[in-house]
Amino acid sequence: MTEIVRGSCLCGGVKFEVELPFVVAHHCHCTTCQKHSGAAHTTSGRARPSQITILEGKELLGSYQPAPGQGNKTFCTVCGSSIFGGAWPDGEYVSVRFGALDGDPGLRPQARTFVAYNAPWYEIPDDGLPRYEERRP
Amino acid sequence: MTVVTGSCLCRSVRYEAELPFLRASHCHCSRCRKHSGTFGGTQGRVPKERFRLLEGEELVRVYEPAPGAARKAFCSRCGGSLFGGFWPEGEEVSIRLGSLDEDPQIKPQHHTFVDSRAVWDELPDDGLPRYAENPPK
Repeated sequence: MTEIVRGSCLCGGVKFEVELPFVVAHHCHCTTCQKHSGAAHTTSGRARPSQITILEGKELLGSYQPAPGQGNKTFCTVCGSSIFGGAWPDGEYVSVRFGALDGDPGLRPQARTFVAYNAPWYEIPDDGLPRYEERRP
Repeated sequence: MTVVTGSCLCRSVRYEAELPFLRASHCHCSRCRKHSGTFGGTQGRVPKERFRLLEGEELVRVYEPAPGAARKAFCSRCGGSLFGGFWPEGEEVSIRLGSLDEDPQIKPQHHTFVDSRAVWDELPDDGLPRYAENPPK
């Protein structure tokens, strides 16, 4: 049986589901992820676009691409919730923000990326996760 | 007097705050989680009189999850999370630390609403106090 995890934004206007499994998950500490999330990092899992179905609110999604070739930030324009990223919606793999999920993604963050850009106010906890200066090789 | 500047991801909204921050924390509640897309929100507070919005006020969109609940203010262009608390009327401004361009010279002092954290949020032991909901007054 196919296992599904549901997700939604804070205002409930955008609803989606993801067919598990996620292929990978990580915390990204890059500057654009800090600015977008307002926190020290984003936390996302990757899946193929074919695993994701938008159930409601597609028209509420806004997207911002910080620079050509960089991952975009896709969010609910009503409540500002961060929902998708990476090469959304056309890439081979796209990112789904774990914070948007209503259930268990089945996978836990496995690495920390772009730690060279970590915020001065954040001490990366000693959680045993591998850390990469930039992208995960 | 030390001033730090902050901005959203697309840099259309810019602000400055005079140090010191009064306090800072990580909030693991489900509303902060949905909005940020990661475990929750990380914010610091300054009194209103030590804060100035320099540019882009017209792009700041505010979402109030429930009457009287802490708000989520973000850039409507890039989704960058900017302010919380009771923006814009509150006596203190709750600033997402991820939106800062400089070191706020404070680090988060505790974790709140840890009983509401996501199943994938492993909350590593970083030595900070943890509170089930709000911190004690």
